[in-house]
Amino acid sequence: MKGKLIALVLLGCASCIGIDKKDAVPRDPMLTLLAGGKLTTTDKSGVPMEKGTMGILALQVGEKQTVSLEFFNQFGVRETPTVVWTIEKPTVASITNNEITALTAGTTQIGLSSGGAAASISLTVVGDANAIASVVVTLPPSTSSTTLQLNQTIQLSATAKNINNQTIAGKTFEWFSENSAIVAVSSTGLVTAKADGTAEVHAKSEGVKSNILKFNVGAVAGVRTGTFQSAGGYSTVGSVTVEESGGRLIVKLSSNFQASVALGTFIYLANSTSGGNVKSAGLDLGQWSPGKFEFSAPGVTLNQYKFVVVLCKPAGLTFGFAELKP
Amino acid sequence: MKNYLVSVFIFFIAVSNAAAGGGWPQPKGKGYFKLSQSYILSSRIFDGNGNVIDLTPSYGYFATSFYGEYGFTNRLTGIIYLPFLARATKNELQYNQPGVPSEPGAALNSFGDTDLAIKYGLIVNKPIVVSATILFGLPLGDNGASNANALQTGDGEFNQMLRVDASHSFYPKKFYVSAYGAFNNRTKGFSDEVRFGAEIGLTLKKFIPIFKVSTVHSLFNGDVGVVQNGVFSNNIEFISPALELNYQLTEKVGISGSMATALAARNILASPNFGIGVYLKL
Repeated sequence: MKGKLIALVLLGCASCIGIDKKDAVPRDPMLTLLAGGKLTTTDKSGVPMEKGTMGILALQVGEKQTVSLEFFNQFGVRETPTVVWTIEKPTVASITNNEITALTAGTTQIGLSSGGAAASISLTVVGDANAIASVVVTLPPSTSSTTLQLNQTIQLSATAKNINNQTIAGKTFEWFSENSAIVAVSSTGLVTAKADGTAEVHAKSEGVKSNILKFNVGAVAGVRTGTFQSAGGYSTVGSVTVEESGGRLIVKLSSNFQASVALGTFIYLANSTSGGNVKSAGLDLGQWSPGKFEFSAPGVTLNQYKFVVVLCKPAGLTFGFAELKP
Repeated sequence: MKNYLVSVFIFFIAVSNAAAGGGWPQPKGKGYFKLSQSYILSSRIFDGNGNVIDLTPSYGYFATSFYGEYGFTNRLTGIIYLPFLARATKNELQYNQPGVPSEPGAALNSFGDTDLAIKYGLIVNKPIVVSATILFGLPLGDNGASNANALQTGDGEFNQMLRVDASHSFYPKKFYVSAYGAFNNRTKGFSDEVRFGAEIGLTLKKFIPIFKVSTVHSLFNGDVGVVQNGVFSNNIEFISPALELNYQLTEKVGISGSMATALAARNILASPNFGIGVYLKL
């Protein structure tokens, strides 16, 4: 009788919800600047974001700006960062306890690094309130995309602003393309897509450099595609296209996309196809159901992930994946 | 998840039947009744290609069930398998690195899918006895249609299985052999199945060990892409040896313990299924 009782107790315990422990999969740590005060931030494409790895800051001599940061370690855990600051021209500004103090008029680059992650700030220090403190280059209101077709033209606008963020009229601008064979820019800011590839464009006025816009040209550059293959005996067919647009990575499944259906079938961006690793270190784009073809990922760049994975999220099982190719 | 549940369910049927009559129907007014607890917990699965891969996290299935056979006549036996408490679980997932958020565990408790069957003795009182069984699988479990954790206690489909058993006793030597073949017609887009199995039973005074091999083969004629939440429970296959050890406490009452595992499989958990039970012979 005692033995039966013990057996029943053991069975009762066995049917409890247990705990599995495993190592999280390392990923790239991330250091981001949070926009605030006079600090504006952009993603790597130059599109303004609430937070990003690139910052633009303009201060008047004697002014101070505290920089707020967000840091996620290699396991995606938010931590208070220990930041190493570097400044290109120490005569222009100084930094103490995440506070930048403008010393003399000029421009300089400030670098930040923590735990293997990095960010940067372009700083302009002005001597008086009427000088140009920042130059902002923007896309036309009709578009938010920096992906261009071959020979497509797009008219950019540039605005000079003073330290109080007021527009200064009557300023002239110089336009620059990092690679004019791919993207040419005229003296009036007219961008022309010349060849497949990627190139950055910015403007300057009175030595003050604008934000950078990164353009992707053609069917190849700026777009990655993949064809799904089934995994684990489950079914996934179709193809996928990913492209950057408006500070987001847009993931489009083809109209013939089909996958094994289970509650909890999710689309992931990942650098592995192993279900456990995808679940731990991949980027969850959301649950898939038949008829849903588009997902987006804010702040994700085109080459950040290698695979689009169809995952049964609750069990960490890969139903299929597409390797992204240029 | 459905695959696990159905696979466990099948394992459990296999173990239960190991104690049952094979080709012999119950004599009129006689019966065999068993109260059992079975469980499986695994962090690995045979995937749809038959490869063993990790599950993140572990899934489990636990069933408390009643199995009964009763002879209405000397040839006609009624059979019921009633998992009155079925519990599917998903373990909590914790990471060793501090600060990494854990994923909570989950459980689903419900009635399980139930089998009702009639066995008819085609050849009785001969050296080799043969019976035919028609079985109806009633989808009384929860197919998890609204369960985001992919937990299920049933497959949601009504299946009908025709099974033929043949048995031979080597009496006065104290052992017997049985074999069976079956066709399982599944509905709602699930693939039909063909099943085969065999068992050898010994009687060593009060101790009755039974060794059994069960196989399930999918005809792969279902619609895996359409079946709602049935992706795992469809196209299940396995070759499963099972060992059941029975001990007669009295002439009518005994206890049993069993273990079934899979040598090769698709879409089932890659861990042994264990069971214990107490039975009564009328």
